[in-house]
Amino acid sequence: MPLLVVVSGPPAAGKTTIARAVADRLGFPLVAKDAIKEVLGEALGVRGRNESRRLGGATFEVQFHLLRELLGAGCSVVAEGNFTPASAANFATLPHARVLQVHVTAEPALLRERMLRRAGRHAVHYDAEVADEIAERTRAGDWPALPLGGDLLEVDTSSPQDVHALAARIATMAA
Amino acid sequence: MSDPPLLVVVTGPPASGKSRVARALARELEIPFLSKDEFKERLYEVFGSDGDVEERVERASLAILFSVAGSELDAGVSVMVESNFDAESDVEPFRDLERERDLRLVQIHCGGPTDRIVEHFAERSAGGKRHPGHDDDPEDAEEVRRKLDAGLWDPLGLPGELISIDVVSGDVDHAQLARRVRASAR
Repeated sequence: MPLLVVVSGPPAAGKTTIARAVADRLGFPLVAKDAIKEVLGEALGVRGRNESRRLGGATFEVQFHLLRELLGAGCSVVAEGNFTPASAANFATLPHARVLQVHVTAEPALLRERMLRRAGRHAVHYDAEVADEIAERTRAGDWPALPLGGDLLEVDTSSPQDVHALAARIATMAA
Repeated sequence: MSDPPLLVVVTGPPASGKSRVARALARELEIPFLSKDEFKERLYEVFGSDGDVEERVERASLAILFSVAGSELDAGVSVMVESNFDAESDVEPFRDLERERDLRLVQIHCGGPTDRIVEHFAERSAGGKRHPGHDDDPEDAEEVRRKLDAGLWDPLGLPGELISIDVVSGDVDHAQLARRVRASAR
């Protein structure tokens, strides 16, 4: 049975860095939300907040399509994104896989700071504009660990984490 | 050291039976399947297909197809990609994929008699079974013929084995085709 590693948590928690390290360590493809969003956004020529929101929806569709294809062919995969609990229903429709979730969080005030700092990223992101909203929503519990079953590892990046040691630990859990 | 991953490219004109054969073959080979049209359908759902959206969706679907194929191949995962790839403009992205990593490339070209393909295209456009976003029009059939004659959907100039099939004139044995792909990829 393939393994589905889900890296979840709020924006700016450090998910992408951790997901990349885990994918490399395990030799699995990484299906990351932001990478898909950037490729689609650039090719579509998406401009403005409204189109960016629609792009978010399209990205989600494409991401789950890719996960379905990979898992359906028996390939293990790392899925990364700021999934909300509502997406647990989408995960439930995926082909059968063993699930290992890595839930990455940090203090809301720190997330806000990081969002403001990375505001020069790709134009499809609106980091500075949404920094306060992200901190608020994290406080409100909008990005908890997802009810997916399987193993769960909680990672708090409020203090610096050794990403390689973390990837090694996740590889042990995956074995 | 395991074999380098396989990149199976399924190409050919519209309405040549590509996607049906590709889907069945991917299942037979147990590898993930990336179809340009399946990406397009997901994008049409969100962005609609008015005005210049169709062209943008086409571009984005190809971009995501090549990007995802690259990252799956990077992880050592074999993958099948399927589209009516343009024999001119879509060759370079494949060359990039091939240049940047160790892989085994097999191309399957779906062809057949021009009249049958044009006829099949007209039937499919009139049938209304495809996603409305594709905006197929039976009146485009003559354009399909012109592009076919101009070689737009000829086999791509890529390294590796080329397997030419005709699924317009008759069915192919998917298990046998899978064996041919595996044998060609050695």
